[in-house]
Amino acid sequence: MIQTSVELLFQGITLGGLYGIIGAGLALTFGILRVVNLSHGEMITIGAFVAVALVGMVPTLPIALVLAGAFVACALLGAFLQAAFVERAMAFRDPMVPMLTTFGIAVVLRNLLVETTGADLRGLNVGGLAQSSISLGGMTFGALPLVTLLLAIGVFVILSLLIRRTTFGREVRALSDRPEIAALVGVRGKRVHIKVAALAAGFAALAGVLLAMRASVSPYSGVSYLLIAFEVVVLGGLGSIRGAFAAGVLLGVVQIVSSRFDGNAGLLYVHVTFFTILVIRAISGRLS
Amino acid sequence: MPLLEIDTLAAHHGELVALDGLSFALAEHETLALVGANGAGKTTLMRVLCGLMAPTRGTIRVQGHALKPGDPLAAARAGLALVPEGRLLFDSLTIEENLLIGQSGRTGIWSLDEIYGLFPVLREKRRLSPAALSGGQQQMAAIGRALAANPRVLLCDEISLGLSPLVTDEVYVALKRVRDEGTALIIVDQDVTRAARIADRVACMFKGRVTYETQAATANAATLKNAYFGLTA
Repeated sequence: MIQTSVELLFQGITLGGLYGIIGAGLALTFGILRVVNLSHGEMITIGAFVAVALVGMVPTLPIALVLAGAFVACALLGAFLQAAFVERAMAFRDPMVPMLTTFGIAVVLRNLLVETTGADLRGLNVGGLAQSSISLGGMTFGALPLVTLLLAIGVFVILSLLIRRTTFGREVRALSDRPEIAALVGVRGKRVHIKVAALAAGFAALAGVLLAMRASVSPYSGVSYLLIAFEVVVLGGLGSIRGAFAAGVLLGVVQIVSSRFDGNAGLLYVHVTFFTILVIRAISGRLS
Repeated sequence: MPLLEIDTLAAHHGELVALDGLSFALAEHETLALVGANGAGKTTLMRVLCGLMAPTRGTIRVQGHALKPGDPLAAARAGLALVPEGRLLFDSLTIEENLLIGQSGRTGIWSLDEIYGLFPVLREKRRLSPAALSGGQQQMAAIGRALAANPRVLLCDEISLGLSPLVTDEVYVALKRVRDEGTALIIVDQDVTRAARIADRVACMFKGRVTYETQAATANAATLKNAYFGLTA
């Protein structure tokens, strides 16, 4: 019983780490750019498809290089989209304008993906990694979930160090606090925004690669990823990276534990948990 | 050539005229006390000078070079730094980070150590959030942040607002030191007497214009008072 519980908890935490990565990018764009990025789900999907393409071209490519390739490709795409479209939309005072712009970008990206890759489901073949496991104290832990967990911890640590310990992070926080005054002290807002968008897209790509290792993805998967990302970000506190990871772990554990008792539940209990916490917050006056 | 030259500057808040063809100049190392009642246009002038607001007419020149209107980065590069009304420090940065982010690449005497020398209390509180500081200490941090850019002109908006007389004295002692180090200053303050005491010149604004301007040493209190309330406008 204890053994099963620990294994379930481990699986839940690793899935939660993945959800944390999914939410981290959205938390970055919301917390710093103040943009509700509706194309975040498509970035996750594109990350997965870039990985599938890379492994298709070089089947022996190490997983680290697959992750790096997807990260760089999506970071460049995110930077371009920010510079070309979102940054201009942000010049309008109405927050609906950038949000609708990202909605438009999402639709275009999704259809471009269908056009170029077809609408079929794809999975990422990572060879023996998917079946490998490590035994510890009579318990078995999958290698792939371990990789996911380590990557999630890595993303969280790197992001925290980047935001807390670097000049870039200082500029990011200043810009998030008081954009007008940040410009006065020489912070180049547009440049910082583009870097943040690139980071967010890059982390979305990492999540996409990990998702493609666990299950099949299609060009239409972005919407469901976006839903998870929103739940993670809203539960974790809008814009909070630490909160996003904590919320991700909570929802991951709920999903794994609930699937043990109700095999057909899917994400039902994840959404119910999200809704219940929102209701509790609303009743206690802490919805905002 | 004046360090800062403002020529027929106009600015509007919607239909409201905030600056109405304002002109004046500031020499190197000069300190100007800018006074005037609420709504005279002082804060608008500060915002236009540092690029937070675009003028509707007129030019700003720094050492003869026209400043790109409404561009805070251009103003910062030209050497204009603002101590804004209400301090407006970055709350998610520590005090030291607030000072470090002020360093915009211009070199000069105002290193971190010099700023801590000017305001020793900031060294003690350097790891704290601005929220943990008193209003006076926050004002010192705001001045320090602006000084970190080694500006040619330090713009101080409502410098004593909300401060006790004792703290205001401390702030003015520091500004006097900044002036003595050669930085030009424009000080906007409701406390006319204190501002005029360290200034070379006093200018009084009313309805977006400078209605009275004089050397601080020869300022006539009655005339200044009339200009302040618009009686000579």
